[in-house]
Amino acid sequence: MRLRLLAASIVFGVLIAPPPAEAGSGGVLATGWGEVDDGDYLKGSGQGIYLWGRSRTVYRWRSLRSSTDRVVPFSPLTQAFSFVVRDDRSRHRVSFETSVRGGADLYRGGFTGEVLYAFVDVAPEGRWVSARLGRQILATGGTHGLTRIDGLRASMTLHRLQIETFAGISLRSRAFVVPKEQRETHETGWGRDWTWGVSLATSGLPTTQVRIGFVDRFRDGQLARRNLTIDVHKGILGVVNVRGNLAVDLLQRRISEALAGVDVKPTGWLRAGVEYEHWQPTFDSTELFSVFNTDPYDAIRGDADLRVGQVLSVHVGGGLQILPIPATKDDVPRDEVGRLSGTQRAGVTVRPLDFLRFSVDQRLVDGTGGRKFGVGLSGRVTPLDGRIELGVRGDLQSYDFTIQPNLQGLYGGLVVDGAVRPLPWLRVGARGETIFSPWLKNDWRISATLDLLLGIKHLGPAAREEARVDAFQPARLVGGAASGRETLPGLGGGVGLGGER
Amino acid sequence: MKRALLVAALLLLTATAVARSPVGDPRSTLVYPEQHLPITFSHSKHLELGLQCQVCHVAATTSTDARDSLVPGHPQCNICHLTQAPDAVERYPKAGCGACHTAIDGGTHADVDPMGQPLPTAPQPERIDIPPARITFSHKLHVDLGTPCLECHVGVDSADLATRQHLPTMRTCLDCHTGGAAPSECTTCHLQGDGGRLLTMLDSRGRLRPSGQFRPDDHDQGRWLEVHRAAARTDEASCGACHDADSCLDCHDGLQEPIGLHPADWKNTHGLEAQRRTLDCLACHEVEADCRSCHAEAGVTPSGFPSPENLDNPGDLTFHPNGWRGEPGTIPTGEHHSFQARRSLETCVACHGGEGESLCLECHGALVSPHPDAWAEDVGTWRFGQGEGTVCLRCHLPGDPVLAPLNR
Repeated sequence: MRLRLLAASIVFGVLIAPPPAEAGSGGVLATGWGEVDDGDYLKGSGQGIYLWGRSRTVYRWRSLRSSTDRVVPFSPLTQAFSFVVRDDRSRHRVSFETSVRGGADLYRGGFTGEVLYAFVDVAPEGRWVSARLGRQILATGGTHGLTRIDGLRASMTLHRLQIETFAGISLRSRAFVVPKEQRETHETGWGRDWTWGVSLATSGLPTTQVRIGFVDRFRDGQLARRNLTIDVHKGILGVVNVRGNLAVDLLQRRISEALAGVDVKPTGWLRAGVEYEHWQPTFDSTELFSVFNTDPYDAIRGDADLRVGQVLSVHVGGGLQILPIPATKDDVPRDEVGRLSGTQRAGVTVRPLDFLRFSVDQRLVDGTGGRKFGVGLSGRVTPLDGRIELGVRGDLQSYDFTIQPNLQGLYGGLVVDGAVRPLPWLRVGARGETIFSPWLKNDWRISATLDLLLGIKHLGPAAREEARVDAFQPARLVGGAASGRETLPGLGGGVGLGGER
Repeated sequence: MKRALLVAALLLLTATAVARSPVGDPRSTLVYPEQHLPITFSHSKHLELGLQCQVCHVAATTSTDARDSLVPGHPQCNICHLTQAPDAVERYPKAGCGACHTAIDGGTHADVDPMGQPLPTAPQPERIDIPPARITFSHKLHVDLGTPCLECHVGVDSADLATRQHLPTMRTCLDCHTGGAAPSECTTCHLQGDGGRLLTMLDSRGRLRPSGQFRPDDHDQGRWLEVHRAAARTDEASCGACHDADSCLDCHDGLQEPIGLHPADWKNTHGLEAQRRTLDCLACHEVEADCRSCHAEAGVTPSGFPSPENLDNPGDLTFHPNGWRGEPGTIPTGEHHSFQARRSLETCVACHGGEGESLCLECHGALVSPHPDAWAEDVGTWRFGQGEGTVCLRCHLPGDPVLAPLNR
């Protein structure tokens, strides 16, 4: 027993031991997650050759009881790799970035592989033109979030105007290895779909951004979408921000999205905002649903954040959604359907110590369709400079779904996760989740994650001379998901609550 | 009593937090760390005497690194403040240790060597702490270009001590750095890491986060996750300064959902919000990959739904309530699917898209027109774009007179 305790203590001690000095004798050193020090690493920042790689292995296990009382097990094992090599000079830049992943469900077998992205980025002398070639993700591709294309994107900046254009094959699925039996449901779109777009945007104006974009998307060789988007943001005196977004479906000849908002930040610790949104669903013109009657809605929302340093943040918000008066095609009113729904939320986050944070939040959705009232409690502790992370989140919700009254009842869930970062480039994590409901007996999920990082920075001769350090120096890497993305502000029941590391 | 204690504790907590907060300061302490300046000094008085900045800040004209200490040392001060003079304490300008260092006891010419440097036996003043700014900056470059000191260090000419308040804000930098000769890329000034992108983890207290002063990127606002889509569309390149594509995909296409993204029991209760589009589910989820596969595995399908009632008789209880389907030719009741479908057709498509369209066509193919009232008047040549007209042929036969406008 004592030996076991001793062994456990040694293992624990090794795991939380401080990372070794980062100025390696060989000049090449893998580094990882963590804060920066004021050492020589900072020298020559802004230029150099960077190599960066991340490996993530995730194993998940879950069982779910289906409507036929059958226990459905899931057990996917996935391996992902991301890699970046970037030559960043003071006047030009060349980089290659890629991310791939593959995996299989240990119960079902089979293999699915995906190239999430793989592109070359080139910005020659002066960086007034740039091009990106390969599989890439566009946030500017239209109204439906991110668009994935295999193609080319190029931009040119002329004084205060940036012109950008892109063209390529739009992807229905990310998979590059699709089993025969899944081909119908995981069509790639290759050879049948493509997209192109052009945009004009302001450039180099510190507080003004205006972007006008046009996108055509073809599906099965037919024009499926034609969108015009106008996005505006204007900061006034560092206190007021005005924003507006408009998306017009030129095929359906309707405004699919219009949004206008004003945010006021009179001090560093207070922000308040209101916004108006008009929205109507649109579908590909090749889909049957595009010829169906749909109703738009209008929504007004307001929220405020009180943030006092790193210690306390309070968020309150709410909104009202207004739908057309419900009536049949024969103009028979159906008032019982309702036309108003509202949301309300509030949350407080306290961070008494740098490594300790608690949050409590409350949210309410009510009106047409049903009612949901929920409360949530979460906590996170990251001692030893974040080398250990422990988090917990619990939620309880009273749910009343008008469409199906049988679902009424009390629902809840609990998530516990933890991670250890014994070395700057190694992170091991685990998570357990359970949810319960009036009709679901149990639903358990566990997962384990292994992350490895590698980063190398090589300074050019000029920067080296200036920097007075070795040719190679460690690149401090700040991993995205693995370094606490789980503490993002939440969408609790449609509610975003303040939170930070 | 308990309530009073609770209120008092909250007030105390708030007061402590306010006291610790750099209220209204646009300068992040992550970029410009807090300073400790136990000295007495007046920039305004020295400038009134006609001194030039570089007389004291000698290294400023040659410094190429933000970490270089440009604070004048004893040699610069000794040019005028002759600490080695026997009457240093009394003479003008005063030159005793206490003339500059606050809270110091003693200190005369006997405590310095003939060059004015303090001897080891000299009284130790409180240490001045000016941590370097976490930016990339070359004073030399700016001085060589002829940039006046006061253009960046605004207000220092009328101040006594130069503090963080006299370090340039990002707005000051962006007045000149608009692209071209003065680059406006974030890494021009901010430190690089993470494969060449901005280094944001500068301090254990938190990440460097944009404040929304210049772009629609206020990460601290409570609804940031909900509004960031529009921001990304407005200025995608700005996002790319800190985030690689993995940053997007960790949430939008991640292997694991972040713990705080949805409530822990979200899977059971998301229907209400999906139906009302309180959130844009499709921003992160694919109908094919996520909605349909999960619904099918869970048994939430058109043919059945899990509930205590139907465990013994699978399929007895359908997802939709009585009256949902309705009968063609009758006036729909409040439970009729048309009301929900018109409001959230996307949620219908989550189950009934693709092959599921055939369910819609059972009625809408012939008996009930699904088109808006003004559909007939709107039909024109633009409708050729409506799937080149092929979508029409799922219900209408070629040659149908109502399709005539399509052929004009």
